[in-house]
Amino acid sequence: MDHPRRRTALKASAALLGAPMLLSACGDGSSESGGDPEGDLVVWFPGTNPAEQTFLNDVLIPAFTEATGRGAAATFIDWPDMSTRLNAGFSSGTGPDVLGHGPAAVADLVAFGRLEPLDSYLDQLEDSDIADFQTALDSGVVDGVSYAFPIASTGRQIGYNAAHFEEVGLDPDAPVTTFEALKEAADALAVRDGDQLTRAGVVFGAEPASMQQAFTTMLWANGGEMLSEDSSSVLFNSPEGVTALEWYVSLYQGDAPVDNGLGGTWNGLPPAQSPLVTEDTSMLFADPSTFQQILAAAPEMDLRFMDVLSFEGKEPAAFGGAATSLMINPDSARKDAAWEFITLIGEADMNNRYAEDVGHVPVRESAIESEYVQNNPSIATAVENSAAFRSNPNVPGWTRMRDTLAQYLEQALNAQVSPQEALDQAAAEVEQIIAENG
Amino acid sequence: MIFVAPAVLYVVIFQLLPVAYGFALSFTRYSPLQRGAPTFVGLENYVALLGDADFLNALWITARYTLQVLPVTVAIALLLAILANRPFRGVGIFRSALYIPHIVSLTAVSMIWLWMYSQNGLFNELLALVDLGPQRWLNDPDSALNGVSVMRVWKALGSNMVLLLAGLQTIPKDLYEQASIDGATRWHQFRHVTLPGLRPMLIYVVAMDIIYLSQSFAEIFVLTSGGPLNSTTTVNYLIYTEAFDYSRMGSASAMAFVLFAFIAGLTLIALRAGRER
Repeated sequence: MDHPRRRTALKASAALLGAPMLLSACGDGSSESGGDPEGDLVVWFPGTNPAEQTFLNDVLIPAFTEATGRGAAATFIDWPDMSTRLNAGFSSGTGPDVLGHGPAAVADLVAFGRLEPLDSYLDQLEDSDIADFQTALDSGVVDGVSYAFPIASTGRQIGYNAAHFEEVGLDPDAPVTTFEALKEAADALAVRDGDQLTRAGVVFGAEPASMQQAFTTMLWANGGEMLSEDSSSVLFNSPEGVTALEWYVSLYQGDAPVDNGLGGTWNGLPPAQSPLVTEDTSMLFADPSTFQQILAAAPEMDLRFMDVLSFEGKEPAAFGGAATSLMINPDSARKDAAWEFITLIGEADMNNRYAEDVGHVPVRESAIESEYVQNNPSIATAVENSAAFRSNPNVPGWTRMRDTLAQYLEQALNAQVSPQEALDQAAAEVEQIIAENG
Repeated sequence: MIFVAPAVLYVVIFQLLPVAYGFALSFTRYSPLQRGAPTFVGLENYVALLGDADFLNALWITARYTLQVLPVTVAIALLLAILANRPFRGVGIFRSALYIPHIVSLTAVSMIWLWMYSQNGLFNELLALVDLGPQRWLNDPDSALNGVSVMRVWKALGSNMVLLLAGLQTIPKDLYEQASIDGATRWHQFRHVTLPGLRPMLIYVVAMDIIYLSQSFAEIFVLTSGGPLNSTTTVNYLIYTEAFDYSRMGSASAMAFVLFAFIAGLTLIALRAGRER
């Protein structure tokens, strides 16, 4: 028996399904960015820095719109919330077209197929461009494939109060170049009242990620490695690692400690309360953006910066490389537009302006010539030393490995276990994490 | 039936289903980043927790934090409620001033306390006035949890005081008059009139404090990030890192349900202890 009502419903359904298909076949339905469908590009940007928001909304997005005829909507997400938002976005299918994050997150996102490989896009760039940001670009490589495009660099360095150097007879124009000499300088700069340090010689970061970055810096600067080349085994508990950690522990333990920041939370405080600004230390191990904020909080301070250090007879090396990086969601329907957005902020002029407006280190080594870099010693030192900066291993489960290592480093720094025990125990747990992430 | 349907739907969709989903997740290995369905692993997550030193430490820290903040908060709040129950000039301002910390965001309050505890913060400045050296309030594993506890006592006083004040005002005044005529001292009046009359509200305050304190997160996140040496890592903070830093939702869900059992156990003990004999 024929059902006229059902036939009408079928016709209506066919019309509903067919109309958009017909429209997409006949009409353009796409914008200037390759064959991408129309619509604003959705960007999730890490950090809520007002200067960064102004740059994106007032400079970058208008320039992108002018170049492509397409709008872009940026959502600024606090760094610690970025992974949470991405988890929710990816699991619900509402992720952005372009996402920003730090290199530490890249390998895990790749492991779950959440990042688009960028190699074919990078092939479109000039060789000179690639060479210009090669160091930072390496931070986004997983198993030989690029997934993250760096837009800002970073690097750990020692900033020091030149007046304190003069006060104790050290020459601020000839800063130390080795960790051994750094300890001696810190000893000379430390001010003690009985057994209490009233002014530290040097302060290193004391929260887990900072401890790992500090140790890794010392490890590399002593010729050691974190993991084997294929990332299948742990190498940080090598003799080089133990020596590096012994040096790190000596800052806090023994007869004459020079750092009283253990367990401290100074990196959560406003720049004006940094121990360098309050003169509770003479030297600080931090990143250029933090030093920029410190200089803004204490413009009268004669703050200077050391080149990347090494242990005696070894090559200088420090934690660094890419800071903020941009990536493309493989589920995005606007991948070409996403790449155009990314390359726009990577262009020399635009990237220098971004760095200057926000206080970052430009990602291109050629930025050394720019007025901004020349006028800002912390940024200039970071750019000059960019070849010595290295990033953490890009392996799945990295954040767990980092925090596990930090946990044992903290125990060693508090003299609860010896450096060798701490590194061996950390290595055993990290090997287990490597095995879990296969 | 139709009238209660919206409420029933709300409870089912927004409260029961998420809890049931969380419980189901606790038997799986799952990352929100993965494209496939969660992998069923049975009791693996729960068994792993038994041997997880970090989790057992977090459970101990949670118990210690709850049990050290709770009695101090309730005792001081009771004292303040008795004071606020007396008629004196400015009693309204007194009550409001004590209640203000409760209405300020815990995160904002934690930031202010972070500054006060810092090397050059208010507490060390006060010590300097009496020629005492600076203390590492939140930087020392031996003192960090106590530092967080002091802040939480201050924060919780207002709400507890208001609840206990409401409880005090339900006790009939003539009971005190009769006790006074019978020659009862202030202490006897407190012991035999105030405390029994306040018992239902006290039990409520204690039960709610156990529930809130056992789930502490914001103050830990802001003040110490669980350190130093995990000395302030509560179970809720550990759940956060497990779920959002490491994307291990199955393991985090198992922790959440063990925490639920822990809170339920503590609350039941409190309710039984407070039951009228």
